[in-house]
Amino acid sequence: MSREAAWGKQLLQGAALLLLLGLLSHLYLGSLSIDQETHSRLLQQIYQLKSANSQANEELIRTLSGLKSHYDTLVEATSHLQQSAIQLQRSATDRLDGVLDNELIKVIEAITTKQVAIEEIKSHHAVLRNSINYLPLVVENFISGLNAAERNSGISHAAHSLLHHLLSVSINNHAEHLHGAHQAIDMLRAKQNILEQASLQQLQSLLTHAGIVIEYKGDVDNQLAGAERVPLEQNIDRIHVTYQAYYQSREAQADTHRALLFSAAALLLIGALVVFVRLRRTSSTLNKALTELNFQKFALDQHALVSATDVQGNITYVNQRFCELSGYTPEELIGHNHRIIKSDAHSRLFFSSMWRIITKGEVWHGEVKNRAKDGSHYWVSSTIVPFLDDKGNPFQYISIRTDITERKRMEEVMAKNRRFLQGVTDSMGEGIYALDAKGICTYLNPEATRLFGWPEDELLGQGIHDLTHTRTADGKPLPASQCPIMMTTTSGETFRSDNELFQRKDGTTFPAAVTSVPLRDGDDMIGSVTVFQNITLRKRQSRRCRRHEKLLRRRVRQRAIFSPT
Amino acid sequence: MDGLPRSVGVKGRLGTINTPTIFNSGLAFVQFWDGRAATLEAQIDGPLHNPLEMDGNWDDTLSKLRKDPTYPGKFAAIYSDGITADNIKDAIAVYERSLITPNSPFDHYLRGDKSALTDQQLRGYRLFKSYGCSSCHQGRLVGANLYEKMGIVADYFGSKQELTTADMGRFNITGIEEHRHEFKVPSLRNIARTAPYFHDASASDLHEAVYTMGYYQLGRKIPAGDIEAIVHFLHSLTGELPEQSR
Repeated sequence: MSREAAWGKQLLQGAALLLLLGLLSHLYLGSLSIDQETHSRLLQQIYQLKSANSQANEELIRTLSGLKSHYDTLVEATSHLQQSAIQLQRSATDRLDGVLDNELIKVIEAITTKQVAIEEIKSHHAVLRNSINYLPLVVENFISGLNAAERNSGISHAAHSLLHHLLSVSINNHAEHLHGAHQAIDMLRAKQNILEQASLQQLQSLLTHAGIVIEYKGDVDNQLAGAERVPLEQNIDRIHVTYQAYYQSREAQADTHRALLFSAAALLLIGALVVFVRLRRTSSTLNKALTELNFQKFALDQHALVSATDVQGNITYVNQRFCELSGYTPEELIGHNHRIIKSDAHSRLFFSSMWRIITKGEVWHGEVKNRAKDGSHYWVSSTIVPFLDDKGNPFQYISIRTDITERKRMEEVMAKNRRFLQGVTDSMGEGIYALDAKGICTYLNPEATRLFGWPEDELLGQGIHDLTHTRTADGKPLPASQCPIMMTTTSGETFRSDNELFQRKDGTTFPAAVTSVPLRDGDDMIGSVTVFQNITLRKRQSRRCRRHEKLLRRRVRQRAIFSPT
Repeated sequence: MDGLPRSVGVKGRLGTINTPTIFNSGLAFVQFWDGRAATLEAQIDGPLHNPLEMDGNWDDTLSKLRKDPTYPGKFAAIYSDGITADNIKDAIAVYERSLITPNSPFDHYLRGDKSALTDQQLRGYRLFKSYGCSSCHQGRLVGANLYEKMGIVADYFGSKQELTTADMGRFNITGIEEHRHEFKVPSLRNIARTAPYFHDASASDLHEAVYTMGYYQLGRKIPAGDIEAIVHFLHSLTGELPEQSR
């Protein structure tokens, strides 16, 4: 995978995580309904407001009907009403995103209107009450101040009638009594010119208070009606209804969110479990792989020299065997260029071709002669593996080497031996050839090719018996199965003979003396080596010798016969 | 309580109205003669900004108090947000509410101690009720729980040479014609100690005040003997001052 793709994937994963978190917090916030404490407090405050309103109404009626001799309780009730509304407004503003704002404003406006009306009622009621209380006294004072003539003129009756009607009016502002009161006032006014000064003053006081009762009673009744018209109760009820609807919608919304949140949480949990299980599996696989890798590394370290370099060839890692063989400590190697162990054994071309291969990202094999710290040399069979990055460029090289110094030395020794043997066999006057266990020719010296008249390459790899040794000395056919040379391999015994007949490529034959020695590898026979000579000359001489001998023997025998010794 | 018709503010400036007593103000239904502040907390803004009283503002007051060696620590001990305008108002209002004057002879009388009032005072009390004073001066503060027009029966302001803004009473606040010359009915507690009387301080002693009230508010000319008895009764409304005010 390229670096861009990996980066893109990470970005995508991060975005997905953020999105998930956002979703969860959104769901969580949505799932928060109005908590029960707030809910019950709000409900309580709404009920409190309602009850404060009815309490204020009650106090108002009590006060107006004369059950209270003071306004303290009415003042308290109205102030409590206002406080309740303010408290509710405070709670609602804090917790309800302004849902009740309009209703609350209406309620508070209504309370203010009602309070203004109540203030008017109090002011007027105080005056009204005073005048009503005073009326009987002022009437009594007036009548008692009249002289007999005045008293009989119907004035006192009119005054009594006025008192009667006004007291009725004060209780129930009935048109009939109001009319009666006005009639009485008119009558008193009509007769006032007959009154003496003192009585006149009393009458004026009486009429003043009568006027106050009529006027203020009307005012108070109007103001009371006004106060009752204030749509406070309806507005409080509307708050209640609005709040209940809001609460239910919030609850429904919260339920949905809660369900979603629960599902999301469950999904998340399952996801986490899956990831956990996978991680466990991966980690156990990884651990196994790691153990295996460590084991492999251990095995490799036991066997091989391992080093790592960066792209410039600077050493970043060496194992212990590398150090042991090169004679350097890891500290002396790490950070230095690999050239530190380069010997002069290889040409510049050798290394440049190596670099060409590994920089292409290909694996390089080769045998390299290195120089140890102490100046000694050693050979390694080296494999360099380039490690490639996302773009296919090497970013480090790992070299794995095996120590082949001994092999190289052995090879050198063997080559020397071979050269020596070659020299020996090449210069020998006898022909030498070697056979493997199957009788295939594996080696010929120059003398053997000369004697056989076969070029070396035509005999090598061939069954030499059928080409050179088909007959016995006396001319009988000799199959390979009966050939004593071939049989050295099976018998394991050295075969010597002066009486073999070899044939040349051209078909001519020559007598040969043969020594055939089996080649052993432990208990196994792996072939044979045969040394042979052309003994034509020797045969001839030996025949001549035998003839001379015969001749001499005859002569000796003849001399013995003739000589008396 | 300062005995002055109008109180002295900063740089010797005189107020426009007879200062109501601070005692028992926490029990009053509204503050100021015209009731323009519903609570003691709201009342504080008035004198603080009034150029004839303290002629100040909250910024100056706050910075002054914050520089004080003792106030910041004391405020922090009570209020989590330290010195603020609201907290200052709260502190002052709480203090003011503690300024009540209980246990007047009249209180003792109402609680059952029939010997707490002298015969004269008792007679004054009866007259106080029968003349109708108690129509308005009722309740625990003997007043201070409603508004009333000054001059219900007779025209109080008609006899005055020159009307001041303060004479307009609640009209200044509401702008409603009905409220012209309406004032908060003052409490009569400690009335013997808070001369002069009325919003315009027009009555220098209680006798005069009782006579004026009877004439303009009740439509009665109260005879001197009755006034004497009522004044005696009014003296029985003087309670105990809070310890720190004695």
